[in-house]
Amino acid sequence: MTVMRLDEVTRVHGQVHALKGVSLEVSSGELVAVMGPSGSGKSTLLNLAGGLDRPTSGSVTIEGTDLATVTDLAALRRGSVGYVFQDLNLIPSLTAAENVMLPRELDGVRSRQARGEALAVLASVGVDHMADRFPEELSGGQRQRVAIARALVGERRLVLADEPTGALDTASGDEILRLLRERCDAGAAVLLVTHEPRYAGWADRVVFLRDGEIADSTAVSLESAR
Amino acid sequence: MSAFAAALRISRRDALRFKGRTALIMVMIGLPVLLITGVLTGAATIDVNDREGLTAELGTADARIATTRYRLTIEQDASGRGWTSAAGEPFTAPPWTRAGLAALVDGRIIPCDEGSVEVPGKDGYDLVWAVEVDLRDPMTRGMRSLKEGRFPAAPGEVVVTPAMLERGAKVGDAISVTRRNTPVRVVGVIEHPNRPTVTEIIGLQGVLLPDKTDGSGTGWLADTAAPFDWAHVRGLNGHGLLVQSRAIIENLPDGVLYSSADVLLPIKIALTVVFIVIETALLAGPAFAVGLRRRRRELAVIAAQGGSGTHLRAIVLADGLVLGGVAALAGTVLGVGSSLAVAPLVGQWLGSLGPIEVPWASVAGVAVLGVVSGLIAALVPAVQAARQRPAQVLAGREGEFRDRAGRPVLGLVLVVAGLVVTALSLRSDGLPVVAALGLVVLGLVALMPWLVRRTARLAARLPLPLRLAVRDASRHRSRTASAAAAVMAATVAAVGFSIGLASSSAGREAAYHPYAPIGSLKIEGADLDDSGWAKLRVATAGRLGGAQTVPAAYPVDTKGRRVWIDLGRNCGERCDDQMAYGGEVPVGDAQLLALIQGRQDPQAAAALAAGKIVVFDPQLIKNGLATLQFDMGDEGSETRTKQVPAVLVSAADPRLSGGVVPPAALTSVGVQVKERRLYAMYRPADQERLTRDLSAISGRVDLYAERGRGNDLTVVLWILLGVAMVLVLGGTFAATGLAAADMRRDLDTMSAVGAPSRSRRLVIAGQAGYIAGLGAVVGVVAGAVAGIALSWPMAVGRQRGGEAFPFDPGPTTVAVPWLFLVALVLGLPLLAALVAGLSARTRLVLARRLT
Repeated sequence: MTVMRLDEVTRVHGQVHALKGVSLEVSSGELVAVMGPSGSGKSTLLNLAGGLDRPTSGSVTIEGTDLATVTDLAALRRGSVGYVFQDLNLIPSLTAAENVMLPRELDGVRSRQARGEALAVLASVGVDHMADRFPEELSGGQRQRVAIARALVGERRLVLADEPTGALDTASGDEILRLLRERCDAGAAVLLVTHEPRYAGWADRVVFLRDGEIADSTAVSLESAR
Repeated sequence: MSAFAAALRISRRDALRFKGRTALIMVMIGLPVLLITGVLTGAATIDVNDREGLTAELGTADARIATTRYRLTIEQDASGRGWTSAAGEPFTAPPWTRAGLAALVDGRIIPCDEGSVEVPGKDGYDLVWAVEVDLRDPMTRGMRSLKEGRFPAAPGEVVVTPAMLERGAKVGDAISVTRRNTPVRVVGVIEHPNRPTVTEIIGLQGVLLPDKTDGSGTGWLADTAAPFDWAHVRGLNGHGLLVQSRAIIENLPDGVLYSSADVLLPIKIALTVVFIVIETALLAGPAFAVGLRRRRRELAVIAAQGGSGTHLRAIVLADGLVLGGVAALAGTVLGVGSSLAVAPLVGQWLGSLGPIEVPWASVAGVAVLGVVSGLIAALVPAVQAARQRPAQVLAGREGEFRDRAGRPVLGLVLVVAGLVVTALSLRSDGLPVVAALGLVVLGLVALMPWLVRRTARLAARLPLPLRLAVRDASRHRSRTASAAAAVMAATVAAVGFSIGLASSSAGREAAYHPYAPIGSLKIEGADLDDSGWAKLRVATAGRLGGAQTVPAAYPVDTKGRRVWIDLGRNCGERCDDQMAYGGEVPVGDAQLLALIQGRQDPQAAAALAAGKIVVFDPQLIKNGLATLQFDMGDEGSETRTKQVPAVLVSAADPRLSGGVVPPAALTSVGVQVKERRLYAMYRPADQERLTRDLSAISGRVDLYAERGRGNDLTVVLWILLGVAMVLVLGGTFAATGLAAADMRRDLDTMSAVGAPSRSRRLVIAGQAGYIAGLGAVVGVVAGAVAGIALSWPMAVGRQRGGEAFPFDPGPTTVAVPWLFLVALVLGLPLLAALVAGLSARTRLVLARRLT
């Protein structure tokens, strides 16, 4: 089942064409890696996919809803899309659990219920024992696990990860990729932007971007990559 | 709701994480709350209102009944202090007696007379409070507490307050009272419940106040069967008696005349509140602006997780709510607490202390205003937070986000609207002008970001450190504009009021035309007989510091009653009713003329000797004749006039009006004269004391010192400068401190490439100077407009014709306190720059770069 679809998406910033007619689909249970040099349009792609930005032309559809018809994109993100960034991912003044609760609380869910959901999803990523720690008391890998938990809390099935391993050592990076893979296998759809060809090996499909266009798209054999 | 709870949680935790910023905001919001709640609580505690003062006034009695000079109906207020009568001469009747009063009051009454008595002091006689009442009577319980000894039990015994002990009185010793030096023995020490420092003597009736007459403090305490109601009070008013009724003061009935309330008070309070809230919000604004910039990425992450613009706005506003709330709470607790702790000491100093009293409604109102100030300060950053584009911030392109300088349209509209309303309300009582100036200030606040951007263009011509400072200030426009606006608002208020006050004083001075030179003293002994007058002349010789006294005549009718004289004014339509004339036309000879005129003028003296009136004012003479007006003082008699030959001469002081009338001119119209006045060029340091001293020697003497009408504004201007300094420096240092923290990396880079520490200081000093200077310059322009506009309504007693309204509001006097303005506009920014530069950190910190 297709969770996210980009159809001939173009994004122009002034004179710069950040994306030129990109089409891409990510289905439930699928991990798609996006690779490419700096300025190739990777982050723009991720911003459009999550509704943080709107395309100049083309359409973005998430779980069957064309984002052009959505006025409250923030609400859509709260319900359907989770972001994971490279660093400064968590709110420093909130504990791990409170960070995970945040999207639910913003959605109007009562704090007690939000906390219950947060603890459940923290347990699913293996850091529920860190629930009441502040980000500065967590290692880099633990922080990213919490960020992934936050991306998944509620009914969200699309995770957009922008260099989630960029600030981690190799072992921690591997752990995070393994976790994303597990979440995919459990039904989530993950769009991963990375520089590291090694991590692309965890993906079902790798999309290469160059100058705002898809230069290549390759299905990767899972076994060979690992 | 849960979203707002999350926002509050983030704000609370952030407040604890960024302690410096939190402290800064707490001080900016908490300090005004602390000061205002402290002053309110202190004032309420120190102030003794009618209800709180009841015990000291009445003891346990139901009422105190006091005589007036009248035996006809008077109208009193509920407090029994203020009263009016339907005019007329005081009725001459036998004085009130206890028996006479007992016929009107159903209950027990005891005498209780209040007044003052003279006691010998270091250099002459001093006046102290005196009460004649039997403090042993149960009705007086609580009026004074006994600290030592006992209450007086016999005539010739008194009790005194501690202040009398400081003057040398001792329990058991005798002291002298009155000018007759009557000895009385001090048998105890008492304390006034509300006036801890009062100098007071209390004895039995007939000891301290021997010359009492009705209307001079004579009264009784009454213990009645039923409480004194308003009808009862009105009944006694009908006999010319004044009543302080416990029942009425404790439960003020509706509709009873009470001391007149200022109907404009709510508007004045509202305007003050608006100014304080705006100023506080502007002072705290830079800290919120900097806080927002540091949290942009955090807010973008929240946006990526589904936080909408509304959520982001709520999160930043929650900052204002949390910080404003905590600051207001802390300010209130500290303000009320410290005030209650300090009030007894201040009460000792001020001489007034009531029961502990916290005006909760006002205090709560101030605390709410503190919270509102926090919310308003966070408003602009909150709107900016909602507008930020998360994709750009997350991509690290937050530098592309610029504070919007905005178009100056809104600001200009407000400024123009404010100026128009100001112009239209020049004839008002001043409140519309102040309100309109509020609009101008709001307009300038809105214009400030635009002004910051415009002035930054001048930076290119400045030396490097200053250029860097101004450019940085301009780049962080929210921070700079908020601080500069705070400086501007404080400057507008200080400049506006200083010019208004100076103009008002100068206007009064210019419109005043005294009948005797400023600095002169008139001594009048109208009721003295010849021997008394002779004694007075001798006594004055030694008491006026060697100043020569010149005798003058006192006009009387055939029965010896006073005759009022004046000179008619021939100005017709041109009469300027803004002018004020002081004193009565002097009557005397050439010697008096020389003193009044201020110089020797043989021609004028010759004319006076020839029976002509000498006038100093062209309006007082027409065709060589002056119009002598005289009023015989008989009830119902009309003012009579007589044309008398006159000459016009010029006085040394051109403001002098009136003239000198020769006694012959008066006798020719049937007015007699007797020498009962003295003039001298002398300014008494203590006029009241000199009056008492001279009166003690010869009988009742009146003194009139001509001091002019101007006010000495030195103290007021110093206070204004002090308040402006606190606000200007506070706002500037807060913003400069934040700027210094933001610029540390840039400054480290400067140092790394070889800039001396002096350059770092200059950059910081430049920031402070730019913020304070921009605010002061804009503020002085707006303040000058404000001050000039206020010179109309602040002029006292001006009534003008309204034909040309609104474009010709009539003449006014504008005076500018230049030194004050220079200190404000040049001095304060320079001081701010100097202090900021000297306290700047110059040590190079090598930062570990993570990216």
